[in-house]
Amino acid sequence: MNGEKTTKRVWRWLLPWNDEREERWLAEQARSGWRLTKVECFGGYTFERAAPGEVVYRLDVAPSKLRDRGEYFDLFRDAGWTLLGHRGLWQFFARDASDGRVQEIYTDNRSKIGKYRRILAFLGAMTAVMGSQMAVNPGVRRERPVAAIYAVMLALFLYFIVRVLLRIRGLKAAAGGQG
Amino acid sequence: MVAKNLESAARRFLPLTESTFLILAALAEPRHGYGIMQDVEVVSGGRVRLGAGTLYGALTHLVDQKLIKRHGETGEGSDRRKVYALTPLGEAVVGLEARRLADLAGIAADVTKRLGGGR
Repeated sequence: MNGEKTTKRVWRWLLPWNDEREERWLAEQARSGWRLTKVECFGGYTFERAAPGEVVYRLDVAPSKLRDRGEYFDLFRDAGWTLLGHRGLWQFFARDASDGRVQEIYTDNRSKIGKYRRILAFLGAMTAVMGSQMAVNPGVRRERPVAAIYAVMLALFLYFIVRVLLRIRGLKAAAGGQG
Repeated sequence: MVAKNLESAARRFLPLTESTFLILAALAEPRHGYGIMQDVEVVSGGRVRLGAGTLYGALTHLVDQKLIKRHGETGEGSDRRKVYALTPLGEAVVGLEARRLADLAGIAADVTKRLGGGR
């Protein structure tokens, strides 16, 4: 054991429609003996060596009303979730899989779709800001490199929006009319 | 007259989804969020278990609809929790829905009998 690493840091992309893939990947890390201990806002994960085990990870997008955030985090804590950190819009929660309690944070499709709608609202606002900058700010249009960066960003955000919309449509289809 | 208005305002919320009904029913007494979660699970015999995100969204929505309101706090320090309670409108809604469901339960018992024994 001497000399073996006891912590590791990993950097990963997290795209807004890949949250469930990320949850599964984190659970796999725990299964192979790496517990997530820290989440940094720019994508760095810190893991610590631990006995291999089943951990449930869930990523949520908290409500935007700051006033209500305390209640939100209290409810998750009461329900057995540990907050590991924030990254962008995401909150990372974890719980021991063996505690026999509810392992989902969303137990109906409608509220799950709500999570993606909050992402959509954020992406929409960003796109609107960038789009309006391109439209009304002459500096953006005059400077070629700036305009190019804006165009790339705008295209990226539009692509993100389409992917999130497709995710929502998938969830609605899965609900089969009851959502 | 006021009661009449309340009833017609309440009627627009019916029928409720099962989880909305159970959340409002849990608030027959004021409770904090996790208390609601536990009560719903107990009264439904473990069948309805609400996720934290789902319950949080439902509570926010019900506050916006003015069916429930924040009603002080319970506990001390880090155990301090906001408590929710029914508004008069919320009481009217859950009362009407309870009556509607009771009527349906009567019909259900009857049809079960006519179909022969209820197996």
